[in-house]
Amino acid sequence: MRYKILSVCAALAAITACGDLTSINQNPNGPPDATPPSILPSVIQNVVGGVNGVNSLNIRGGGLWVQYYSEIQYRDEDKYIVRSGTSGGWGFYNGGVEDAQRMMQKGEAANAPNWTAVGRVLKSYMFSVMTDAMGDLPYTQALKGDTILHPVYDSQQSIYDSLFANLAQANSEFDFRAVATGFPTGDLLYRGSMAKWQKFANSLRLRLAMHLTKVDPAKAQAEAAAAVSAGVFASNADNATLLYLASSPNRNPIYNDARGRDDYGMSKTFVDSLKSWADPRLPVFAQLNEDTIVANRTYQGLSNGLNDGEGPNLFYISRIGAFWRETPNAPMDLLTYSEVQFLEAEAAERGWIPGSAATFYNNAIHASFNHYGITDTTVINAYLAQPRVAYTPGATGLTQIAYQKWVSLFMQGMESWTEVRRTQIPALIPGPRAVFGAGIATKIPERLPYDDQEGVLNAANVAAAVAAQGFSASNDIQSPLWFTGRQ
Amino acid sequence: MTDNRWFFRSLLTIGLALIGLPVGANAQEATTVSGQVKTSVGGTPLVGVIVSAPSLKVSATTDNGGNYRLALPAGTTGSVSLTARRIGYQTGTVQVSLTGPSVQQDIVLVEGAIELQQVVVTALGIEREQRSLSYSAQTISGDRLTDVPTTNVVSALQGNVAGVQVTNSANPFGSARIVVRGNSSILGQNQPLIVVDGIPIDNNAVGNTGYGPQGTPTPGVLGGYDIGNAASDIGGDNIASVTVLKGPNAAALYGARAANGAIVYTTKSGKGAPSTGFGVTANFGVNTETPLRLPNYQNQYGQGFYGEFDFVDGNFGGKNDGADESWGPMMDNRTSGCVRVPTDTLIEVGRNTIYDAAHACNQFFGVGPWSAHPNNVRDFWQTGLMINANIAVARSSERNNVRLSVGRTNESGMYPNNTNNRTDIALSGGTQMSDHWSAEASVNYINDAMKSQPAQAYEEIDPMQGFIWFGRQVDTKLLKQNLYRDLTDPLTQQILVGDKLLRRDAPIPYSWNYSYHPNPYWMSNVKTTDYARNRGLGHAAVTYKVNDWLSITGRSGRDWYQNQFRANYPVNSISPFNAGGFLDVGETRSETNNDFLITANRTLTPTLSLTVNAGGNQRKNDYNTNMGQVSELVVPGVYTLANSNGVPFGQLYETHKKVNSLYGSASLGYKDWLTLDLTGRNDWSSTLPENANSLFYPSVGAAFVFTDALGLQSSWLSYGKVRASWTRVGNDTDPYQLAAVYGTGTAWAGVPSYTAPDRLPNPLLKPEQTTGAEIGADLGFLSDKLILNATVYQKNTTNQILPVSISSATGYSSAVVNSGEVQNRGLELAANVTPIEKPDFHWNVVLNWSKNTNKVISLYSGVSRIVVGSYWNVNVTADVGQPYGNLVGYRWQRDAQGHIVVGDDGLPIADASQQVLGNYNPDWVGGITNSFSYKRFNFSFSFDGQMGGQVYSVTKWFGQYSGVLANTLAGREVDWNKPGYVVPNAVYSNGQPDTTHVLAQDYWHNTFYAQEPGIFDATYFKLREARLAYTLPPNVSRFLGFSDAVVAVVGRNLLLFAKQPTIDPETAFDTSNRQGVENGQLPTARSIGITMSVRP
Repeated sequence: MRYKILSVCAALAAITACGDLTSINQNPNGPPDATPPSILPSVIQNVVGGVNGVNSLNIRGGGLWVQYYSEIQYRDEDKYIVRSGTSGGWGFYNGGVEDAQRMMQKGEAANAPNWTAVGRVLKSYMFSVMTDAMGDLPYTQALKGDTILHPVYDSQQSIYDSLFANLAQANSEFDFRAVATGFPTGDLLYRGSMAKWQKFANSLRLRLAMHLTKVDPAKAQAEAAAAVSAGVFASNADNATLLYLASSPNRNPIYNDARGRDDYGMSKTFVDSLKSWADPRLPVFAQLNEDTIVANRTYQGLSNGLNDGEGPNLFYISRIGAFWRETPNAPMDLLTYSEVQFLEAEAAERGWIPGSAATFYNNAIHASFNHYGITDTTVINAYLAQPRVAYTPGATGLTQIAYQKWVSLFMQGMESWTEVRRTQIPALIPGPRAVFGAGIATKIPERLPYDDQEGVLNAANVAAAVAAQGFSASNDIQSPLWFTGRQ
Repeated sequence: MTDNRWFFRSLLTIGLALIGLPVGANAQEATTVSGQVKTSVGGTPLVGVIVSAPSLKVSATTDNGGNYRLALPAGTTGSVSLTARRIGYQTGTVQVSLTGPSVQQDIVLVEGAIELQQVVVTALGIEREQRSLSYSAQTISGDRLTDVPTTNVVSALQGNVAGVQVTNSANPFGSARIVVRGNSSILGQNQPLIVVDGIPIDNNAVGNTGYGPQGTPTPGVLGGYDIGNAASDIGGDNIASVTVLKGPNAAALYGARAANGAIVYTTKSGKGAPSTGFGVTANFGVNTETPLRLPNYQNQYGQGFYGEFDFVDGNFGGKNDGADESWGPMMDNRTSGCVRVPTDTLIEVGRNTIYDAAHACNQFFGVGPWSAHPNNVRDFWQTGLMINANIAVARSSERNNVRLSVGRTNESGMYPNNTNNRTDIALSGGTQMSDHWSAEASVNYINDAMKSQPAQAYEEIDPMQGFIWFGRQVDTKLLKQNLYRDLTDPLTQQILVGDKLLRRDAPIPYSWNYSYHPNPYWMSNVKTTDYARNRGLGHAAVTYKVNDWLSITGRSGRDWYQNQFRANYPVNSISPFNAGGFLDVGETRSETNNDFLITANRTLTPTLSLTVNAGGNQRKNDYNTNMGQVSELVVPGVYTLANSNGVPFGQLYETHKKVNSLYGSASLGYKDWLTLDLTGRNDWSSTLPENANSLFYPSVGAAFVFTDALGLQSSWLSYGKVRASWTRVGNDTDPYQLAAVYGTGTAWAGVPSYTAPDRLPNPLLKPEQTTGAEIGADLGFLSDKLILNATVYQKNTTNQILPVSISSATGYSSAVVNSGEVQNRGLELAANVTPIEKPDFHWNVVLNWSKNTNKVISLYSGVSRIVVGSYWNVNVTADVGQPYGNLVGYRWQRDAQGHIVVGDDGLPIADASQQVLGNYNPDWVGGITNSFSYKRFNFSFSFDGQMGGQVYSVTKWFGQYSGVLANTLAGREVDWNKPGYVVPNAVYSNGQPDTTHVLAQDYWHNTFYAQEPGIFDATYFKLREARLAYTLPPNVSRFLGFSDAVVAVVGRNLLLFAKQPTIDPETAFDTSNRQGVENGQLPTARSIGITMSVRP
């Protein structure tokens, strides 16, 4: 009997014996680590979709406010009422920026400078969009979650300095040897061509340099000249463009959004302007409206800043062009040759780089037409021959460059908004219901808010940044930023 | 045995002779007492009652017909006191005069959740005397749960147990959230552990985010659908009793799972069943279901904006015809003139509108009178029908018992085309193999099947969402009669051309609106969902009885189930997949427990007894889910992964966890009136750091029956006990929180990509810890005609596991920390009153009341608010220094005197920052049940509800925005723009009183900027149950072939009393901690029907 009891006890003890508890707790649902070629596709999709996608930045932010588009329902931002939860790209911090930062760290650890350099270019790109939208930002103390939970904000000026330094470093960092570790897969922009990434780095440096013409011309000149001499985009083949795919889930975000929603139409400002300049790109940028009488269908925009129910019935309003809205595999741009040519035109006009401003200017327009599939030189030359288009050196030329850039940056609303805030061209008139707080707006918004949560999670630092820049609050959208030279 | 009988009989005879008792002449003849034990309420025979004559040390158990037969020792004369005991009933005592060889004595037992003398099942399935318990536990008999049928056994506890709060979802077969003594974990589990026959079972509920599958689905989340909490599967007809171990003290032996108390179910077995005869018990019920409450709609203005509507294509092709709101023309039966003449364009308060009388009132069906259809929403809901049946057969012999039960519930819901079924098969048995060895086992198979369930939570496929945004002139019958548009009709052609979203190769639903809403009947008939849960749970146990006082039990139990959910979205369903698609989710969960328990029960001295339990447990939890999603079909109507246009989304996800435990308890009793308890448990969990995975959980307690100890028993104070206990227990941790893995980014052309983790892990994680103390008293007055039970408690939960939000500028959006403290304090009162107890008439009242005060004492350094969940711009939060469950959103700006501040345009202005608008926790909850029995009739009814607390109602918030609710008539009493609305008691920013008349539409549209107009007092009381039963006379039931038959008329959710109209404030759309928000709530079913039950 006694051994029976013992054997029962032994069996009971055995089933409750401490097995290996630690290995059970290894998470099987994802990799503990990943290499940059596996991370890069996420970063690129995040940055292209994030900057030029539908909500907050392009269509509901910058592009709406430079009056490319208008909200045809839920017309809040069009009335300068920024919905809560909207920021100037704060989500990049724990999205693409953190991933790009990890690519840099992994590149340094693995002695693979191309990983580092590509991460550096993309991180710089995202930071430039964020600072142009919001102003001062956590930079030097950012992305250090395990040690710094309350990062201080750096001034926009110092962020610009860092971005110039980073892009210069990236330019010299690329390893062009055939044996160099790079991106055999995962490079959705350039298929592993480090030469093109290098041009992207320099072109971005040129873009950022020209942002500073108003506030620090000397710095702008020095950086622009350095960027151009280091080598910038030389043709549309160099464009930093993501070619979306025809099949889900890699379709362009404008197409995707339009499958389920219908929130945006074309702005009257943009459509009327292109009509008056007989711009052949209008049928690319906009669709005919859905007038019930087919013969009457035309391109028509909706005035910005109206209440629901105001303005014509919505079938009279053109939607965003079929090029994006009805084409799943439409390209979307981060930076194009056309823009680089405009930047060079402006730099040349200012005498900062060699070359003819007029040539750069004509090339820029030419490249833009080509980019949208308009290759007929007769058509392009006819457009260029218009008196208002034909380049006139001097102050008029700078205005022409700015206007033409506004037209050509359609669907890159954030960069366009930055340039409009810098150049004040074109002079845009806010819609009738557009208000800042209590009053009718006389100018377009100057910035997007900081993340709502910063007021709770990083209160002292965001308060200091708000004070340093003279904002009324962290969601102040009326106060100009440093780069505009009007702060 | 024959020999023994002779021996004992001789011994007894000798003994009686020795002590000088007269030994009767017919001393050799055994006297038997037999009879039936019945409930006081309804006179239902009770199976499994232990009837004993304590003075003679004999006992018997009632069979399925409630009959017992007690053989008294030979020579017993005079009178004898019999007691009858059963879990869930007050112990009955009768005095029997032994007037012949065979005496008939029926016994009536009074049901009650508050017991003074009964046996209760406690943690680990250990049975104990109520009088020895040092903590609060309340037991309810299974009959109480099934008197009025419900599909969720958890919701049947509502109002029946003090300290328990149940929140039901209105979804058919939907979930019920149960919380005992308040929320103590900020982001973790707040529901009690559920235990069936000593084996913990799973009570997960699939989360419900609303807004169905869009983008990357989250594991375990079905947008909009509520498929019920897993514990709802347990068939009420199989439950013998349920004991609520109310707090950490009572549940302390469950260690890391004890913080929220435990609900312990004991299922019916064959014990006490008859050894001969057919032994069949059957219950049958038929109930009809109708909506208890629907929103309070206005019936004066139809679809449109600013007084105008003209249907062309229902998608903004005509004047305001895309509007899904009711700000249109007055519904005065006009057939023309729904738009203004072209010259009258000004939208102004008070201006006379010049309608174009030449222009017909075009509507979605053509030209017709512009008239109200006040019942257009009620018409949509059908009368539901629920039929439930359960048949059980049980047999027992001296050494063996077995019970087989088969149950089936069929429901055709109020939502058209919705059907829900549950099948439940339970088999249990036990055997005494030898004097030392015994064994028992049970298996239970459950199948739930729900077809075409309605979605809720404000999903576009939630039918109520389509009635929040509605044209009040819409005749729902037309939508029922016409599901599809004729493909050749001009409007279909126009829709096809005008909106490229819609597919030409599939029928277009016929609807009142083509911009936002498909026809609700089309959704219920064409957009189908199919859900099934298959579940098996069971256990086997072997006991070896070493000697009189020592036994060892080994036990193994498993709960396993699989959820299979499929939602098909046909082409042209607007949302979520316009081009057709589907979501398919499979989930498998299991919990396996292997344990042993050694029980020693010894009388040390005549006055001192000791019970020791020691045991160990190994638990393993496994979870696997797989999901497939297609967001665009190539061929309409073919719902396969291969038919996906583009790469379908697929996901596998799994978690595993293991906990080893050793535990023990000691209970020292002195003279049956003082008990001291000590328990301890040590858990080793796989979810904790390797070198810190061991945690110890102790408890101590004492119970003192002072009436017995001090001799205070009197006719008015019949019983008195005080008790106190202290414990420190835990709240379980989830796996994989010590280290992070990379997340999956969107694959590019099928090639995967990864993204850095977003949550900073915590390699030093500890479980949450709850320290609880309670004191209480159980008192019986007037021979226990009034029983009172009172408990005060406090529990503090520290080491909260919080993924606190951190500034995203750190590269992470959250970090897992162990920090923060939540305190719950409360008072629970329960009373059982028997004002009248006469042979023919009996009246019993059961009252339960509890008040819990919650406070978030601290969170994390520098963090004053944790967001528990959000919905439509309202955050449910934990704020330092305030009760858990604040509802936080935007409020209207106010001046120092509290007046609403309006702008120059007369519209209120939202505050600059979010404020606390309310809190979802009630001030108190309570329930009262009255039962009357008169001869063969019995009538009972229960009220329960809550006082205080707030709810954020999106139905109300958007129903006001869209102008469909009755209160939006304010400002348009005369016409759509007359007389205009003046915000009451408002001032301009300069302090002057507001006199600006604004258009009703502008006023209510402006409410979008604040959530304050969506917050309401959640106080409600419901007539939860009523039952009128009649027990057939014995000759009639015997004629029918049964010993007993009862028929009853029953009703559930019969009346609702609430401080505000439009919604049922008892609202939930899942069982998460995000409560107090209501989103397109489905109507609660009011059910009325009949039940029948027969016994052999």
